[in-house]
Amino acid sequence: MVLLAAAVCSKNGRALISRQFVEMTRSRIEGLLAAFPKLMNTGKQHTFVETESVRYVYQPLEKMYMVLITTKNSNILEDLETLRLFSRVIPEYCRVIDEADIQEHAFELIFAFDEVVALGYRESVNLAQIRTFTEMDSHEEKVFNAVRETQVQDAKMKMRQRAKEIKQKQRDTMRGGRMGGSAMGYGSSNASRMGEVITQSIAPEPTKPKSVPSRSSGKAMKLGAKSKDVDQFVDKLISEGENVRSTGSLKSKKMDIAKTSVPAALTESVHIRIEEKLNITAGRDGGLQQMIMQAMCWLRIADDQYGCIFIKVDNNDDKGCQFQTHPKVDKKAFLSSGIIGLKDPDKPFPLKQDVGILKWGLKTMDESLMPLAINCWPNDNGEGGCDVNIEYELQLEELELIDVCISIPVPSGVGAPNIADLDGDFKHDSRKNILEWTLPVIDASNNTGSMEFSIAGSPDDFFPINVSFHSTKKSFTDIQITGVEMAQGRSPVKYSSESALLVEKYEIV
Amino acid sequence: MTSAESICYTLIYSPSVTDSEPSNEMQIKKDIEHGDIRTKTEALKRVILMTLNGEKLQGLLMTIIKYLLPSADHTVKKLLLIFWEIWPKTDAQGKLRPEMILVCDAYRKDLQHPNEFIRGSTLRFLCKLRQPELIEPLMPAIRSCLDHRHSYVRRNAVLAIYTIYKKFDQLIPDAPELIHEFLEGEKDASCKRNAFMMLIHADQERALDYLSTCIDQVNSFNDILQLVIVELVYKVCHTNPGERARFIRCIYNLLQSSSQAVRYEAAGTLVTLSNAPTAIRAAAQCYIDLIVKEADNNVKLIVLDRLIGLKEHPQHEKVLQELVMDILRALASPDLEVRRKTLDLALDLVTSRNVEDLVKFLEKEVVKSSNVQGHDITDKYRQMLVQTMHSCAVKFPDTAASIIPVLMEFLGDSEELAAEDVLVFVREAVHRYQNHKPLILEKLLEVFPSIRTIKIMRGVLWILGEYCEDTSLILRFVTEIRKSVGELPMVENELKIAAGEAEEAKDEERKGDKPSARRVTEMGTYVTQSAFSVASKSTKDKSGKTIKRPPLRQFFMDGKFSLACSLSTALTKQALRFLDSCRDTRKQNSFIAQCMLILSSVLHLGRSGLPEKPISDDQIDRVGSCLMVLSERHTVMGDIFTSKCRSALAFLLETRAAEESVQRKAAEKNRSALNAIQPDDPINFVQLLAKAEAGSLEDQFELSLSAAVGTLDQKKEARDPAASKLNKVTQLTGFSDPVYAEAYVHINQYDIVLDVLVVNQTSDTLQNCTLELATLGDLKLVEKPSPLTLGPHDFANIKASVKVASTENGLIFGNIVYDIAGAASDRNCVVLNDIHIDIMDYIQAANCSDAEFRKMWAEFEWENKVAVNTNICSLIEYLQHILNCTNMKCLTPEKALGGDSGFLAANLFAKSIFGESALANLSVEKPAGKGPDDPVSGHIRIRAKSQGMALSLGDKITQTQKKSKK
Repeated sequence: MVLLAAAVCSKNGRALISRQFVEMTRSRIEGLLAAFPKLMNTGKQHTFVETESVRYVYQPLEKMYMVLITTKNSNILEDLETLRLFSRVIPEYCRVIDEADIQEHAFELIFAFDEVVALGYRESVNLAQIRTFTEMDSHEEKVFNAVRETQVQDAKMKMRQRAKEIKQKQRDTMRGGRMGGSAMGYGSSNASRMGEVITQSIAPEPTKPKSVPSRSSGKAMKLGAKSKDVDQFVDKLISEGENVRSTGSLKSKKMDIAKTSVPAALTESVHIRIEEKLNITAGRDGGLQQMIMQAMCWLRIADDQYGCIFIKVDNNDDKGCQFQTHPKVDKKAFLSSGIIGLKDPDKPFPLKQDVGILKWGLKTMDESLMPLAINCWPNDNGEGGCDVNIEYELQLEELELIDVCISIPVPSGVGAPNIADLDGDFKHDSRKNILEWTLPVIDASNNTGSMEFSIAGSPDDFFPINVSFHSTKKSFTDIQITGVEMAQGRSPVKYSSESALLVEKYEIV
Repeated sequence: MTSAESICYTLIYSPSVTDSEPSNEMQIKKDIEHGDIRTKTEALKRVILMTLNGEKLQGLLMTIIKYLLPSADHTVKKLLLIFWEIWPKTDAQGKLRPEMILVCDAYRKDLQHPNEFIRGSTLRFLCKLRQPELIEPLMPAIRSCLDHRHSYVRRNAVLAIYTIYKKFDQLIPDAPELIHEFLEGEKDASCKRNAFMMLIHADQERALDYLSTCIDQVNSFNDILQLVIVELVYKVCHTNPGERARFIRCIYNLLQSSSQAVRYEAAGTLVTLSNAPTAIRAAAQCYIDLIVKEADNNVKLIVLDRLIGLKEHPQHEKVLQELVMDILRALASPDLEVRRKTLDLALDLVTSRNVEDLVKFLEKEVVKSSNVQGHDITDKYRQMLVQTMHSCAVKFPDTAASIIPVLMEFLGDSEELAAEDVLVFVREAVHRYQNHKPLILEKLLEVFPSIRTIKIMRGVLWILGEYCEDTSLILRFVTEIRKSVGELPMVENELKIAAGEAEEAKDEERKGDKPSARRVTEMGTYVTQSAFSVASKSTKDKSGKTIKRPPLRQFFMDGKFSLACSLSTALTKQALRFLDSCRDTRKQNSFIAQCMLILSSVLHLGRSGLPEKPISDDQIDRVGSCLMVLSERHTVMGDIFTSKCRSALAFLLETRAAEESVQRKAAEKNRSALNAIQPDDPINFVQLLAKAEAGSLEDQFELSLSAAVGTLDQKKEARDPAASKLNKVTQLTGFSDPVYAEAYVHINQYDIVLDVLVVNQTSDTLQNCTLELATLGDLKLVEKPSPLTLGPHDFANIKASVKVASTENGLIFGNIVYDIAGAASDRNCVVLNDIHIDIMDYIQAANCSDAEFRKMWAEFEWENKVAVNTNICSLIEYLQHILNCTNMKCLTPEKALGGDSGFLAANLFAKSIFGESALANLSVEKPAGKGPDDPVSGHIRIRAKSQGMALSLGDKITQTQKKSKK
């Protein structure tokens, strides 16, 4: 989308004003504008003309035309949007839209045009914003001016005060021999009283309305200071928010990888997918605050001849999960014999879409069910720094966790941590202030591991720790698909299955 | 560099400034120095306007810097920004003026101004600055603006950094890094967009990095940001096709965006990303959706163009073919252009598989449109539908059977447009599809009595006369004719009516007409019909009563005897056929007698004076000759009537088909030439190409931009061989004049640049040597050349540019004025020779359809008739000569020009680069009875919308029509 120029033409074809937004020569733009009235087709129901090199989009406005010149692959929808905005701008400045009025307000119009388009791209502004932009009524400038004025007044007052003091001194020295020190004391007290009077005269002013900007200095000053505070606060928030968001996006990216890596498995026309999501919050002192596991089993049938099937499930759950089948699935058969099939065996499953057939969940505080236990020991070493020992233990040894990443927040601005001992890899992200401890795989062969580092900071700085991983080999609940059969005839059907264990949130606080 | 060639951002039309005397520089100076703020503002505006109009006010520069630059007024500040945009910042040698340093310092302060809007607009101004020396000291201030609290400042700062980096990257080498960091911390949508746009153009890697962090959230972005994301994807995939796979999902997401503009853009990009049918389908569907949903005709038309463009690719075409029925939904729009485009597209896409559906749909549309009567637009629409169905039937002969009956209904229509097309179609169909012939003829006979218009009647008569071959059909045809003519002999019948025996006549008329008329049409029921509805078919006699006549008789009574010719030919043909098919002599004789009776009765009526206009002599001749043929029954004549006519039609259809196929082949050849790669074509490796060679790989955005800005043309100009330049040099003064001048006239598209060489031939120094120019015609001097001083025997080049606004013979004239240094005399003056501007530089051959030509011919107001006065003896040669010297294009096809007939008529057409059309009709003949060496004679008529065009083209022809003797 590149807008070359915006122009206002009169009905008889004269270009009254034109503002170009890209570099083009004067002869070119004049030529283009001169060609426009001749190209323009009256009587047609559309309002654009194309030539070999450019496109004109126009709109009649009383006795005028508002014309935009764009490139030929410019986005017409966008251009029309811009055109509408332009033609609403004009009546804002011209009461009667005729040649004389446009000429009179040519500069205002050009200023307004500038606000609508930047380098050929439309800005997202509305009329009110354009008005503010062109009026240039800046609060900050008022504040600035007010501050300067008070400064000037202050300086003037000080000057007067100084002058008085000097005069006083001169007078004092004149009669110095006679009055002695007491007069001096009187003079100085007088001066201080003068100062008080001045401060009083400024102090009540904040209550006055700000209609007189030069006098509302006190209030304005305060506001300015406050806004500066707010600015800093917001800045801090932004940086923090940005931190949070970026880690969030990082995590989601990882999960995305896990999710997308799963379908890479060759899928048959019957495909079963089990997805378990973990949501764990653990205390730093070891206790599990809460662990929620939610799992779902999805079925996808691509071929309509396998519409009516039974799925045999081997449920080895010993953790006490709550199972729930889809309302249309025969629950009794599942509970009694571990077979998932529709209540009406003649009806097929929906085709070519992921159908959730079974879901189960677990909510527990039993520490032994945590797949990975993290133990973090920050020790104050007495020199303003901390020695941190952190170790993990794979509690469910049948699991194989992939891409484990333990991110530990570290204090900012104290440099990189000093790593003493380490299993796996680490990465220090100084911008996000995070130390990442990554292990490609954790399984029974390396079911424990530790890391030790020292860095300046206090023990509280190293929480909350975030953990992320995923696993595809074995499900957490140990539910397995053992076979798929046709509803009629019980002949086995070829199927594919996959299971994924994903971490939604794993936090040590 | 003249101002015409320099970059220009602002144009303001201001007659008040150009008209009044520009010598008020002193007044302006006074206003600026001493006026109040309002006077100052007005004065500054005036300065800007004058500068824009090519005045040189160098003397004001210091005044402005001194008195206006320190002003705190916002309006003055903004006006100054515009002022510095247009004010030349360099001197004649291209060096920066020293005063500009002061200006630069003022802007450094403005960049730190507490008012965010002043900061913002100053930053925007910096985007347009082209002097690195001026920008350099401002860099720290610009950088600090990136952290400003207000998004207005930030977003303009990003733009400033972007343009500075683009033009002078040494000033801010770390710009991409800076902006990237800025982007990550930014919240405001506009700032984000600008920053992202900057990254796209400056450092795609970083832009991609950023995009990948937020690729999941694109749907939640603001539409302007989404648009630039689409642009990025397009650009990245263009330079690096391997990346395509990464973005298809993202683009697909954007295809579902809530903003239509984004969807449009995304669809366009998706097509470039992937050729997979699914992708194309998604894009096409998105386009179709836009066409149907957007109410704006502009959108519909342009999106249709995109669909048409999509069709060009053979793979894409297949996908589109499946969507034909969806595309047809666009017909719901009332705009004719949209409908025409849609129908054309659908017709191109239709295949044997879905032609049935298409035809059914069209039929429905036809029925729908015939319910809405009387609108000009619906008539035209119906005509388009008929044409489309016609083409369908030609393309897929199987569909003809279903199309024919529908179309035949139109023949009875009172509107000619659609009916005429139907007729053309029927003629072709009856000739081509032997198997449908009975059906067609049957239908024709059925509708025959209801035909209302003379043209259609003529055509139908011809077809029926030509193709009714069985005895039974022939007999039926003649019966229909008799019914249509009414009671014979006609004159007596009419006289009876006219005799004024109103009641009786009416009764008789009713009796006479009833048996024939009632069966044919509803005419017998005229008692119940309102007079209004049949008004077209009836005349009022003296007593004010309406008289009903059968259709053919009515035509004759209205004096339209051209029908008599068609009727006589048709009847003769039928009679001759009847002779062949029926061996019974009695029947033969009675048939022929019947035909002759009808014809002679028509002749009689024509001469009787009863009709409004009597029959003309030509028509009498025609009918008479037919009667002769009938009475003589000569075999030669019989042959002409029965078989030669048909072979003429066959020939016509053949040549037409041949022409079409030639066109189609040419188009296909073009297409295949575009798509196919010859075995010996060089293969381009993107990595190995130099920048300049990469033209073909340049992406379309850049390409269209440079085309629009006009840089492409300039390259072409540069290639012109210098030798031809000499032809365009005009001598302006004599060799013995004190100042010799010659001009090289360089014609650009819309302007003329005069490059004048001025030579001082005296041994004095010439001061204030000024070239003063004035123009006649639709020309305008863009800027006045500045005065210069010429040393003894010195020379100089002065450039002046003139703007041309329309095609008209123009004149540039002027003089050179100078003072001789040291002499006390008045100013000296040398008058220059005129420079004629030739309009031929502005006229280009162009094409238009016959119908358009006729329409324009009727519309255009100015006609210039030029008598042919030439020494050329051959007609074709003369035409060729005219074409050569006027740049016009001959619209009459070559086949029609062939042959040696002694006369020639041709239509010519051309367009000026300003979009004006010029039409010409050439009618020349070799005068009879003169030898082959005599010149041709005749007229050329030129029509144009504007007088200038018609006149100057006429002048051009008059001047050049004589062939120069070699």
